[in-house]
Amino acid sequence: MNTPRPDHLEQRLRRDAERIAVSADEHFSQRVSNQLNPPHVSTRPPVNRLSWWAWGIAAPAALAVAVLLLQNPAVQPGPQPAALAGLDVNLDKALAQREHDLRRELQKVRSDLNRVESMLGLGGKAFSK
Amino acid sequence: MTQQQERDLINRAQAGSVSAFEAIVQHYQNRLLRFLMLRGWQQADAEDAAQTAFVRAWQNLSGYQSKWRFSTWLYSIALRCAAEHRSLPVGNTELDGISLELDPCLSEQLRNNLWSVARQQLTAPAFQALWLHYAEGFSGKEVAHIMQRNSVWVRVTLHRARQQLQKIFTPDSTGPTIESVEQHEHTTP
Repeated sequence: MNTPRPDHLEQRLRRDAERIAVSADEHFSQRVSNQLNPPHVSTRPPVNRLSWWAWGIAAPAALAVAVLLLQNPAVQPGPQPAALAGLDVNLDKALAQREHDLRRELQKVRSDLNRVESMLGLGGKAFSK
Repeated sequence: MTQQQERDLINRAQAGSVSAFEAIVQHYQNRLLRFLMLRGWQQADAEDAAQTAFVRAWQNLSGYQSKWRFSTWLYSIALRCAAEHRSLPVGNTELDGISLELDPCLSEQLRNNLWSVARQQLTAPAFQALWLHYAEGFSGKEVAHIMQRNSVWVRVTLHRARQQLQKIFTPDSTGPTIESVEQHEHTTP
């Protein structure tokens, strides 16, 4: 019977770890490119770059989009049939609630950033943009 | 990155260079994420813990001594951060993550991979020591330092882990599968 040698096992452990590393790196890179706007990447300070996941860049962006949508006349409700009037009210309520939620989320992100700034002793400079 | 390049970056970062530390972070962040996620963490949790580790490394950079490799120092910080993140002692065997579900992105990568068998067969600290040694290339002493254990524990643990995997490992196969492991478990008293 062909008994496997220990060095075969060690080689296999190293090779399989390499396989995991390669595909995990691809996954991470894909995720970063999906979430970041590349031109901003090279100009951010490192604390910003290493914290993109934690500081929820998506939250302020989503808030900005929501506010723009609310302010855009193209999406303001025009004259509607009477049957849809209630729907408008519900939609307004839902949008107001969403805006409120996003503002709270933004507030939380800002407070997190302030906390990290003070931890790093950056005095509010790193995340001021 | 060569050792000299890393040494230069560390010196510059210790002198206050944020861009040098940025390069260090970029070099290590994926490795740290993989390491944490293989403990059974979801990606978002692993990212949080990795970030805490980098922030703490930055804060304590002046205290880093070249007695250990920088990676050894960083991984020991990361492991402590990970333990704090879950309020668990370092090397906890019951809830250290191995029994938890893997992040989907890693599940796919571990298909037909010897490390998936290792995750199933070994205790969490044994798996961790094995990974640090064979996948990350740390020496026994370095693994001991990272895991806050002694060198004898690491040697014995690695030896037993290898023995355990040896029983089910066949070098010419495309890789051990979940089925082959289960079959092995049924045939072993």
